[in-house]
Amino acid sequence: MATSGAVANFPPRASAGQSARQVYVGLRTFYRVLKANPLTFVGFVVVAILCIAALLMVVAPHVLAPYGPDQITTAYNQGPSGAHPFGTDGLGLDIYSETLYALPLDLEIAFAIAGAAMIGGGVLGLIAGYWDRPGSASGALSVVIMRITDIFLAFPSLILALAIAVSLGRGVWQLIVAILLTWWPYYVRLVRGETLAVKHLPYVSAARAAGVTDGRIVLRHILRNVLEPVVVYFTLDIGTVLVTLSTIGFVGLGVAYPSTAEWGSMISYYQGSGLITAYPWTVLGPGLAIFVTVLAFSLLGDGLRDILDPRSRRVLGGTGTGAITVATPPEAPLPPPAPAESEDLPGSEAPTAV
Amino acid sequence: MGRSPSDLAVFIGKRLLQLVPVVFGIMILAFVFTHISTVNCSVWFPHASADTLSHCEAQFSQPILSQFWTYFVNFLGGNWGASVTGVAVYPAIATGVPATLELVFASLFLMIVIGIPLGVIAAQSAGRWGDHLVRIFYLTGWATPTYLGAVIAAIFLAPYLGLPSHGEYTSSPPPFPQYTHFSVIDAMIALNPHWTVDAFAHLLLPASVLAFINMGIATRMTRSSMLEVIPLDFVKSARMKGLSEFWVMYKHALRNALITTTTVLGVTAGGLLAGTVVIEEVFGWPGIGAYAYTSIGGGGAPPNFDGAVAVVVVFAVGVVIANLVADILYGVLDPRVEWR
Amino acid sequence: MTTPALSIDGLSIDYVVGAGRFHAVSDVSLDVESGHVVGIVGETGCGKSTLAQAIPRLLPEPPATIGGGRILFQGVDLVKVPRWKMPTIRGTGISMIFQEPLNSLNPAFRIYDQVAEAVHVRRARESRPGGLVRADGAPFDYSKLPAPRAGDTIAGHFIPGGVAQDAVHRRQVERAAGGTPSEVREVVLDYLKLVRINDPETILDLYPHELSGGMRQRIMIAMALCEKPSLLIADEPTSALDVTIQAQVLTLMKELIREVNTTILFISHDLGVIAETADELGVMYAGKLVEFGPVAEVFASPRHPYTKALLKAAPTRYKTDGPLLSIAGSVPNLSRPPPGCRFHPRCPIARPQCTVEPGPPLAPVAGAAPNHKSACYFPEEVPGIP
Repeated sequence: MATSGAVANFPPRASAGQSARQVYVGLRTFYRVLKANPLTFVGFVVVAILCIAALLMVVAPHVLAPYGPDQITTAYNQGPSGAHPFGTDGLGLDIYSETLYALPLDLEIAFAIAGAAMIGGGVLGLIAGYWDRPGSASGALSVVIMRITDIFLAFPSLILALAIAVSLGRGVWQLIVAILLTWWPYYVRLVRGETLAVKHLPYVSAARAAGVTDGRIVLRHILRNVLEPVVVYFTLDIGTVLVTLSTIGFVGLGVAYPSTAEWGSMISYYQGSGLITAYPWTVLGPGLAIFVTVLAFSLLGDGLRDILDPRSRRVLGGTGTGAITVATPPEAPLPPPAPAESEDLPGSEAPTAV
Repeated sequence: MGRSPSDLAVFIGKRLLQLVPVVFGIMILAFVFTHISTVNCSVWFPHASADTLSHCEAQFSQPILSQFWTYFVNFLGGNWGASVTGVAVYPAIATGVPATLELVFASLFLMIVIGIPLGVIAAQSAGRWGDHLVRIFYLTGWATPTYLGAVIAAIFLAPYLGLPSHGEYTSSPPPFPQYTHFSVIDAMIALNPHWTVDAFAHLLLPASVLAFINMGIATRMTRSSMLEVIPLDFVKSARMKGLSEFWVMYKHALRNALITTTTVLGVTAGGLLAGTVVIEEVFGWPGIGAYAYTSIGGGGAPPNFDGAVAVVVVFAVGVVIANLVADILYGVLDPRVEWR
Repeated sequence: MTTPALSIDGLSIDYVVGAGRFHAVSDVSLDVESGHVVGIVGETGCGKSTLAQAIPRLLPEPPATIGGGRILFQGVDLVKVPRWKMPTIRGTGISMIFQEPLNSLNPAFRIYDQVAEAVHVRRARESRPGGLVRADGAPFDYSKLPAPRAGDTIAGHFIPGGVAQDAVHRRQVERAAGGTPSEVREVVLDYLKLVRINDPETILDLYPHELSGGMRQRIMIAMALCEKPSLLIADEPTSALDVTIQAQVLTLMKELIREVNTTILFISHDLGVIAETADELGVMYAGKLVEFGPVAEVFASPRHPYTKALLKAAPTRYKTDGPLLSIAGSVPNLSRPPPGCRFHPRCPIARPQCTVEPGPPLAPVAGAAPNHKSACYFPEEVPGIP
């Protein structure tokens, strides 16, 4: 324990006592970064609103939705009005309420798929990246993982998911399985790449030289460094999963509307039944919902990726928004700003080759 | 030096050989996944004749690997199976591929011509309004599901712009021979200006929607590799020669940024090909995307398993080839890469 | 007295990094006489490279901001010239040799294309009505030139190299370069020979990565010279090279300085090079110019404590005995520089007066050459410092 404890302190980290303060500093940094990036901030706010609305829809749907999920109103095929913001359809369903009922389901499916893909693909990626010594049994395993991953990556995931969905049939679980089967390889590739990059950093080598076990190194050092890009990718991925699952719904292989509300299936239903030309507002609700949700997650993820990417961080820093660079705790000695280290411009520390 | 034409030939040959096991793997996966659950023929095809049903049951009752082996041997022999109603798969796909390629190349062209300059603009104004506007633009495309964009374009935008939104030509088949099955090129070969314009007009909307939705990858990658290149010293030395900022950016910086941008070509191809499934269906484009849509039972039609496997394989091979092209382009664009 | 080729007056440059401001160059005034070689020396981080890159407005703004002052070149204040007009001044007006030859050449283009491009800029400007030459020999106002226009075809440069030793490619570039192929080629070859490249014909077809650092720096020098600039800025041209290559490139620089006879601002931290090449010498410390004067006199009798310490600490080539001396204390943090004279915390003759803002101005030294200036309240005491 003594050895590993000493070595584990190689990367700059806070002790347990400081962690509350670290959380505070982290949150403050997060807030300042968001404030400096208007688009990312908008994305964050909309995502937060959507998540709260989804929770409300599960707990107390009547707060937001004026009608029940299967409640037939007396109005048929009416355009948007005060009573029915997105109009009604031929069955007399209030499209606004239906869109809201689809919100928790769509978010749940998206989070379930992206989350399971992240965990499953992440574990495989860690194994393939960390235990990849050629000749060993684990090295062979890593090669097998990567070969299979490469083959999966050759498929456009939507196409393969569609093919699996047709074989599995319609339904929520079938939908999740179909997308998940095509979704994990992206996380394997991402996590493996990050693991390979971190693995040879001096402090990891030092930990290994000091006799820290592999499992411990992976848990304490590698995972910590891999987490950041994976979380960013995950945020962006929610949007992509949503698009994919609603496309499957649109093709007619997802959940069956109107028995279960899901945005893609709703659009498919209205478009397929020829209602769209006569009653174009029918696609307004679900279309807008999916667009806003995906855009919000993309804005957030895209912005986070820029902020966490050192290249962009430098640019942001240059315009006076580089909160990260000055966000060290006040009691720590202020590190000299970039120009103090080399008298060249901040840019010239860039790598030698493109 | 390792960069003579013969080195390039060896380089490409090796890459092609490496594809063989990958394509085999693709076929196994595609086959297994489409046949993953037990098919109940009478449920899937309620209106089929007794003859078709027995044929269907015979096909699906064998162990999955022996089913695959039969399929594989037939596949190599050019027999790609048929739909339950007896329509052969191979001819349908063979005529569909050029149409799909035309659509994909047209949107790839739009992505390059619009997406890459947008990436340069975003990088030049990083963190300022130009950057934000470009980001809103490409994320809007990113966040638009293909079907939504296609439906909006076909139903609402097309009449407004006066553009056709169905098929390759106003009347099909057109009054001239179709040698290549690329609609625009065929009309050009026939030296028929009217039909050339007609073909262009039909291509414009689906290609634009496909390009708009997939633009984000190209723009984003160009932006980030430009951000990497702009601070480098050779950009400064190009400026110090007295070249205008435009030439410094679009000749010196972009030429280097493009080297990394080519690596996303594979991802782009995946997005474009997947997009064709819905786009072609909505716009009535006679390509393999629309064929895929019907094969997998889109819109409630009975699924065509042989067709689905073949189409999935063709799409995956398309992505693999796009990756190969990206690999070769990377080697050609970067003079530091040796062809081995 | 003639107007100086370059006259910097009270120039200040800050970097804005996050919430902090970093004063890289503070209130620097400097004259470079036409035809003279002026050396600037100082430690790493003293702002000399920032100064060098600020003159042709090469600093990315932001993060860099010019806080004040003027940069007069050929009678034009470069601080006020709009950025889009700066290209007319760069190249033929001010040219520059960079610190990092490894990164200064574009890795995607052949050597010939890169040098020919510079030749082209010169020729294009000379061929315009009025050209670059004035009969009366008066300074030429480059900012009056029309906005730059590179005639090179994009296509010529996007043809991927290496597929063949393509003659088509080269002809396109040459046609664009406003001369017949052989003419431009001759000029390029002449300049490669000028920088003592042995086999220029072969070098032309190579890519930068196929050349050594020393070769690349020679090509950078050729590229800078072939535009016949009115002012050449050499920003530590040798510090990134191996010691032996450094010596070769320096010898070349020394010879070229005599041959081309242009105005040069030579940034270096190598006192020996400056001693051999420069006419005047400026010493920078913590973003300020602390001493300026004829090179021989500054070396013989420095009038600022920092210069004195710097000269003492410099290793001479043949000195083998005794320890290497260093200056006590450390370079100040330029986001919070010490008040008054920035050298006072490390100065052996500092008085309370030295800590009062604003510090000592750069003023002529009594009893020295007329253009010998020092930013010290007590220049006469400096020779007495042990």
